[in-house]
Amino acid sequence: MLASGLRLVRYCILLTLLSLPVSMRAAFSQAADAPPDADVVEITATDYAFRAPSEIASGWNTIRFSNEGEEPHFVLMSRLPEGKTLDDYETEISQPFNEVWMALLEGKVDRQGAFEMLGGVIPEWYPTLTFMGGPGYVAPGREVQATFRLEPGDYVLECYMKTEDGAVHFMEGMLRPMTVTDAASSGAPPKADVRITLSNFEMQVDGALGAGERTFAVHVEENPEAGFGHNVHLARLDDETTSDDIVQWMDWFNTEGARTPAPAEFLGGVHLMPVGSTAYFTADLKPGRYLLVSEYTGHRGVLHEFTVAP
Amino acid sequence: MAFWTLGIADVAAQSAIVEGREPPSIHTHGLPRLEDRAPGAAIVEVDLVAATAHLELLPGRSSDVFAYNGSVPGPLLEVTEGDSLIIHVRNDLPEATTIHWHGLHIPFVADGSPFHPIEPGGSFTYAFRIPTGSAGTYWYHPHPDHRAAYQVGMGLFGAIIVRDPNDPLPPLAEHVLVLSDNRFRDDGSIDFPEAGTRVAEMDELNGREGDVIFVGSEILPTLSIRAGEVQRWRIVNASGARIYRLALDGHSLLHVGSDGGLFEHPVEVDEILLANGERVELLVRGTGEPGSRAVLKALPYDRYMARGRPDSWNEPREILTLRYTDDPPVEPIDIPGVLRRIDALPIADADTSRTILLQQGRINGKTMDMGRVDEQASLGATEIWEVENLVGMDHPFHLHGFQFQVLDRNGIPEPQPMWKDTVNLPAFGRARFIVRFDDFAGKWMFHCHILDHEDQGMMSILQVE
Repeated sequence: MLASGLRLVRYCILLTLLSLPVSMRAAFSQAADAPPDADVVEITATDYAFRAPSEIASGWNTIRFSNEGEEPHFVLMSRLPEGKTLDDYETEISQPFNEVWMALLEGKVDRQGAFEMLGGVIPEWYPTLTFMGGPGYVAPGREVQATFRLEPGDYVLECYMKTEDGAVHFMEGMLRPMTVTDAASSGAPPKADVRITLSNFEMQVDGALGAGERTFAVHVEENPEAGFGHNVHLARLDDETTSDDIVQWMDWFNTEGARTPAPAEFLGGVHLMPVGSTAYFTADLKPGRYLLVSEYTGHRGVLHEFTVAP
Repeated sequence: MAFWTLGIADVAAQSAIVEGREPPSIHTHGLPRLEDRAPGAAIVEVDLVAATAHLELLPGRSSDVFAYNGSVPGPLLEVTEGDSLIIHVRNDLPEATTIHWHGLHIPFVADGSPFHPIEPGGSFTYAFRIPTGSAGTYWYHPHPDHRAAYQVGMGLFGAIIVRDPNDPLPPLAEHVLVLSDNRFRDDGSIDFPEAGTRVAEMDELNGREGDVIFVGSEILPTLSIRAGEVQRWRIVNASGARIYRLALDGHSLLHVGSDGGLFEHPVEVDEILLANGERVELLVRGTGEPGSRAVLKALPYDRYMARGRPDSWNEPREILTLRYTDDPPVEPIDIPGVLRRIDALPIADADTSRTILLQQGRINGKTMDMGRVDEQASLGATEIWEVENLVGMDHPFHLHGFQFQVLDRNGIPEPQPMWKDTVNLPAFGRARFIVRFDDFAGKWMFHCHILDHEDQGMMSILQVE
């Protein structure tokens, strides 16, 4: 449960949501077949760095995300406000977040204290940062594809998972810039087999979740008033792991949260996006138990457990 | 054909080449000259003792140091192409050490890598031949496992000049400028931080930098030049982490040589960037007026991640003063427009391409393991390596044993071939080079030359067989 200490952050999120361009509202029905490999952007994660192009075209981009590390990783893509740089992001956002995390880890503050501390160190321009998605949690050795519509601008790519010792990945090197240029991509969204709609506080899943390769469309209908928003990550569960285990582990402000090793095998997803956005990811479903879960709102019920029959 | 056998341009038509020429003067700025046991022969036999010492590095204050032959920096080693070099090394330090002959193309057993430590109280004789065509400026320093930064920081480093008996440059006054930096406590002791402190954390991130910059053993020395004179400056970056962006007030510089010696066409530059481990040869032309002065400065250079950037990073630092004598100007000599032809290694010969990814403290996702070979190549093979820096600070990349030619940096072709053994990768930058693994099989290190990063494990092993 997100504490009241996030009030400042909630205010920041609201301002972010209100600044959305109308063009971000893409309907499911406008999905079309993407040409093979058209505008495929290769991003590779290692422990602990991203390999990615310095520039990509704006519009629809399919990201092929390969995790060549030994720890789970994801890519959160954030568009910087005009005039801000990677340097500013690292100094004024990454470092303060890390200081709060270290204070929490070292027992200098409790959870409530961490949120209050965060409210005091986040810069005034934070609300003007736009989370634009990115491939969700991916297990080591896996490769996933996810498709996003990106507006021109300067972006920061980051992973904020943690090592076994609790070091945050962006402090270890998983933070890099990328520019989305004015040139238009020739990409298009793929055709979806399954449609996920995220709202307050529900994950509506429509479509057949059978074995085989499935393309998921994720639409953010609403974002919550409190917290960082909805996203979707797909995890394959073993017989012992419960949805609760995953939700607990995904709680970044839990001192054991988001630390290697993950309690399940993650197969990708879609990271935080503005209201009205739709993005896509593809996963190969084999027989077994799965969980679709929102990192920040899974504990409020924004999740969906399902089984793929043999 | 060994890569060192290079064609010589028609320099003979442009300048007088005199065999066995010595420079009219050579200023080493505190470096003693290593004494050859048998001078005059084509065999150079010298002795180096690595030992603790108590020396006055700062005026009026003594420091406990590690020193070669009682001197910091160590003595200057001068040899000629084709010489056979025998170096008797004795380790009187309280810990194991090696001596790595940085940039020289020599057998693996003589490389001075962590594979061949000299234990305390032990001795080792390095013996190798100086290849023809290798004339240039090199340096030597310890390379023990996990202790390079400490031992270099304590004072173990020195310079090497390999002379060309047919030097295309006319005899010029030379300055050997070994740049280093260090940090001291109030009592004069060399300052290494306590583990777990903020300073230690920053040293791990950035590499240890010192606030005192030395030229040889001197601080802010004054060099003399006569108006119209041309001098040859051989500059070595022996710092453990600091990158120097060098510029001389009111003067352009003629860049004539890199890590592997002279290249074909001198290049006029206003400033030059020298990363850790790199060397540069510059011609300094006395274009000032008699009695005037100019300062060589290290201009601000941002090699840091935002979170590690020191407050003082953008303050220029004075390195030395160039003072013009009152003597009337001399007639400037002609500098050849073509120095030494360097044949580009044919790209068509490259049968393998490798990608080397630099991360913070890792290469290709791994930290150094002495028991693990990371890359394998065939003796005699030509390869193209693409080195990419995936993180937000500079990492200078060094390959042992083989000089290479940088093809391009961030996709921009290099203007001419030159021999290098170290290439700087700025934040998120990339560079491609071509290399031929001639003559010597063995396990060759490649690593970031920020010594603290090397010690942390940002190093890998290439096996050539």
